[in-house]
Amino acid sequence: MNLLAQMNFSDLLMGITGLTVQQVAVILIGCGLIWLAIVKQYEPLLLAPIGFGAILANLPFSSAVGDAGWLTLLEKAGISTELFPVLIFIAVGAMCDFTPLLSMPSMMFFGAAAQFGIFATIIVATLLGFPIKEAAAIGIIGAADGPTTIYVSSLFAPRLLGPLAVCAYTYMSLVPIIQPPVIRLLTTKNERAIRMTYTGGRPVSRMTKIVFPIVVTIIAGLLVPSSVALIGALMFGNLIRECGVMEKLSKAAQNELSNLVTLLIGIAIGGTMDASIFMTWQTLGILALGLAAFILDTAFGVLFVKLINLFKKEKINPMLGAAGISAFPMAARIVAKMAQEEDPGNYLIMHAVGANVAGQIASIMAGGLVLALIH
Amino acid sequence: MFSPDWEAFRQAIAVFIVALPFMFGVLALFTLITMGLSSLKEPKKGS
Repeated sequence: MNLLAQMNFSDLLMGITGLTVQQVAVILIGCGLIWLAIVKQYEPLLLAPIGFGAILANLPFSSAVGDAGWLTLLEKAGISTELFPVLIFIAVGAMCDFTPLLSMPSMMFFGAAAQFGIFATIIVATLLGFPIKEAAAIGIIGAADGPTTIYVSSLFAPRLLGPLAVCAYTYMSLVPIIQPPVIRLLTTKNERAIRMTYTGGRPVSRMTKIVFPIVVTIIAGLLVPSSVALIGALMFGNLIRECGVMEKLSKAAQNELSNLVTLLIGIAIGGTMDASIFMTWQTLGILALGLAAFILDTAFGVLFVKLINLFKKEKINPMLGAAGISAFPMAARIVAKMAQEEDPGNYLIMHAVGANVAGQIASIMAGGLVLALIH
Repeated sequence: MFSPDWEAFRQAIAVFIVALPFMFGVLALFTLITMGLSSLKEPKKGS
């Protein structure tokens, strides 16, 4: 009886009694993300771990977070150190085929134009009261590039990492819903039906594919040193792929490395979604601004091509500008699909992929520039 | 919250003015390099 009297039975119920409304809301959001991942299949590899991490982090007195919690440990080891985003980029580089870009180098400009939304959103975010570093981290959502968003956020706005990463990955998965109305609004039916003949472009030698990642890394490193970590990882992954003598490493980067780091990064980000930070007006502001960044990127990509068309005799399909965002390969697929909806014989996929991989490089450059220019 | 941070706004405008032309310049350079690299041929075997 004495033993029973010494026990504090209220401890058994502390999980239930300690639950706050905000925690319940984030747990429901976590369930929503898992639902989106499994039922709707929106970015399932990321949204499911993020959703589950959010649940783990918001159960009262959770031992998964805190000084000894494994989610906190993962966050400190892989995100605060920027290690996970860099490793993801090695995997992305190993998966990325730059051939369409190498055979049509002018597509590089479409990648640049589609980053406009980043900088426009930074300005709007400051008007909403966000300090410059947090505004920059919010604007980078417009890069449509999860690892770059995480990289910049961990340096500029670690407090907002959870909402920023969730926002970036959610909107990336919603690209097929966000982009088409913006493209339709800014283009006529005739413009969307413009055919682009793909003659195979310039033939690309193996030597070109091997030298390209090395030269891009050196030039980017000399001009924008703050981009070296990301562009270097992307290009290293691509070199492994293209050199032809590291087949095993290339496959390991594309599969094991990619899968493992994606799993860890997702659940670690979910672990940062603490209710006290996530359930604020700031998060709503971030969600609205992130959406604005995606819309502006798409809009300015399209408008840039329309501007070029004013001076060109042979017109370019303006939808290619929208493929310049970094969301790979969704943006390219959408543009190709929309072109075929207007004209079933119009095959834009190679041009769109060229613009899309250019967007990968441009988004990293944009992230590097933001890091370099804002102190 | 949601009241403008004018100092941050001025910085954001400065970033906008500098970053966009710089990024287009860097990517134009990449375009030229890529065009140059495209002309690289396969090394001849045995040479």
